[in-house]
Amino acid sequence: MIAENKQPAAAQALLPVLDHVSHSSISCFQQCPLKWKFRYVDKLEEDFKGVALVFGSSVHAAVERHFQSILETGGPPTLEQLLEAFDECWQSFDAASIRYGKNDDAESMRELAARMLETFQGSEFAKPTGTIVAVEESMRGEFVQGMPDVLARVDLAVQDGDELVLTDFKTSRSRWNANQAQSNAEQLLLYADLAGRVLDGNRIKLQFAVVTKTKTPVLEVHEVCYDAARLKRSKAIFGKVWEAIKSGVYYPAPSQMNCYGCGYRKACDSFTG
Amino acid sequence: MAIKAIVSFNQKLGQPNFGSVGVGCSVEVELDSSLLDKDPQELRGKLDLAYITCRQSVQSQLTPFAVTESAPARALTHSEPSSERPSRPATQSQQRALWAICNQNGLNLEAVCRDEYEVPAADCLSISQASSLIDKLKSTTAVAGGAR
Repeated sequence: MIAENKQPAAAQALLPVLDHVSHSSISCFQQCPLKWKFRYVDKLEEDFKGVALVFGSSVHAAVERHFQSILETGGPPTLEQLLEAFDECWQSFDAASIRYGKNDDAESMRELAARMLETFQGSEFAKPTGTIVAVEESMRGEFVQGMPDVLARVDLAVQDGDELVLTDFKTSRSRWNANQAQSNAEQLLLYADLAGRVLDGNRIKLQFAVVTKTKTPVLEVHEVCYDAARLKRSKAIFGKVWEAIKSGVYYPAPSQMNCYGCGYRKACDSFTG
Repeated sequence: MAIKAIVSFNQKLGQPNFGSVGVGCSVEVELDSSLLDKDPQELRGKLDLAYITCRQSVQSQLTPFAVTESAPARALTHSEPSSERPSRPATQSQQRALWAICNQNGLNLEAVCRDEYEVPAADCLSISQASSLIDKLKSTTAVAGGAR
């Protein structure tokens, strides 16, 4: 007997109408389908927020303030103004829900942020040549036929002559090497695919700016090669993940790495299928 | 004390066979009532921003009904409901910057857009027009470096 290749009615009913998907939601499903369901279908609140997420978002907000200020005024903000942006973002999270590491607290994280932002301010990356055209810009578009639009947030786009430079800003526990940058390139390739259609520029340069969360922070820029074959592969993966999402089969994928920082442990423990 | 302002934007787009599709967006915003006396310009700026946001959301929703070729990528909230819009419109960041510069210097952004490029609003500028306008405004107005 040949089974009908048909989406189960129950799965269709379960899947909400998704206006868009993002690189992080696709990665989330790849990591743990049940986590994806908790987050995007059930829209459950996480039991806690890992401090790395809160910290990364807050540093991003400060960096956004820096570049938006250059765009608006021509000049960079002071360190105090960057820390103001950091604090505003940090305070937007529920303080009680932040889970800190063994030796961390809010004060130590702010001190670390100040060191990292000072390093950032002193770097060449903070003084882009060319014209800033987008800071934390949301872009969306069709990536794979038949699936919802993909939504991407580009940290920084700078027009330099006929070259468009797209940068994704990262905070990291340690320095990256070129291989690490290349292995994380999927996200940038996706951005290039979308940005190339809405921004000007005959050539697109892709790069990561990585600042370390260390005692003496270091900021390094890693260029990533545009690879059409890899982009095609990414699209194929997105398409397959979307098919898996539509199938409605959501199961936990337990591992030390997945479960340690997961905010859905309680919901997962209560999972009965 | 807060004052409530209701900002609403509606738009209709013609469709084949004399049809049409309409989209509307309405937001209620709470604003500091002291702005009415102390800084009406700031108040107008905040209302302008609410209108821009509504208009962009509406136009974003209308995009699928306006695009006839294969779906292009678009900056979120930017769309091309009519042929008047440039193919690569100003980014949100550029529009925010234009709004901030005009607001700080008591300029009416829509009037500036009309005077400089004969377009009704910042989202009708192209990326390069917006860059040039930002540079021009920065060089001709006294914008304090880094102040926000």
